[in-house]
Amino acid sequence: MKPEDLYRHLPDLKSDPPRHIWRSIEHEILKRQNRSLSIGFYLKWIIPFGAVLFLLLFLYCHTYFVSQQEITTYYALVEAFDLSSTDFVLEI
Amino acid sequence: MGETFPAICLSKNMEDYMEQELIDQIRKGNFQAFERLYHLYAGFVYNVALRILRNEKDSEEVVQEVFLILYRKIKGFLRKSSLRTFIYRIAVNQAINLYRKRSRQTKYSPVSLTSQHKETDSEYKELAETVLNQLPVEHRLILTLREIEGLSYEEISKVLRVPIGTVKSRLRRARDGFMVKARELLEQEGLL
Repeated sequence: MKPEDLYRHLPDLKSDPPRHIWRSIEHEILKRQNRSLSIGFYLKWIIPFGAVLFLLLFLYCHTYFVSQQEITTYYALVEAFDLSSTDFVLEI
Repeated sequence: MGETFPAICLSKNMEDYMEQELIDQIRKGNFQAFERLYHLYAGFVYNVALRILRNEKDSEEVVQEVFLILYRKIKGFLRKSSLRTFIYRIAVNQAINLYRKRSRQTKYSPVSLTSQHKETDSEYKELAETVLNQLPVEHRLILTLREIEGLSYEEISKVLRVPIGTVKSRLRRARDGFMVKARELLEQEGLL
């Protein structure tokens, strides 16, 4: 037996990959796809819906507090300048 | 010579066409096309990983990783190189990366590959495998690409991103290294 004989047998070392690898690749891809689908759903629906809800809530709170503040200011003015008398109101 | 030229062109064009068709199908979300791609190239990826890492479990991990990367990247594949070269390059890089990682972690002790096949494989094959496993990683890689997988010098130079001259000189060194180790082993076993 010569070293050259061993060299000539190198192509025989080619071996097939085990069959189960494809199953695990398939499983992993499907798992990732499902995950990206749920992220897609989250981005497409939950975030815009949440943003609109937040905006509405903000507008409501803003309006409420502003009107509260206006009422408070009004009464403070009434009290400060004694504008509660009917005459004055009528004069105006 | 004049007669073979059109045939080579035709087969090259056919290969390109089929490759493009496969990529298009995968881009459209055809999972069976991806499975076809896997069956075309898994053998190469597995063999390269097995020869670099000398460990079956790690090689399986490399195959899985390469095809997951491929599935992610194929949608943005710009065809600057052929798909074949693209896959070969990912495979070699992944296998080398894992080899380096394992070498850093511990003194890497690969699982013997010959022990499982002793009863069925020929003596030549076993000895060739033993010799190959004793070579440095760069010699194992280039011998695998050229002698086991049958890649051309041009393909190897594209995969390793080195000039063809470098491929030839590395291959010569790897062959010489193989012969030296083979001679030593044969002498040890009393077969020379």
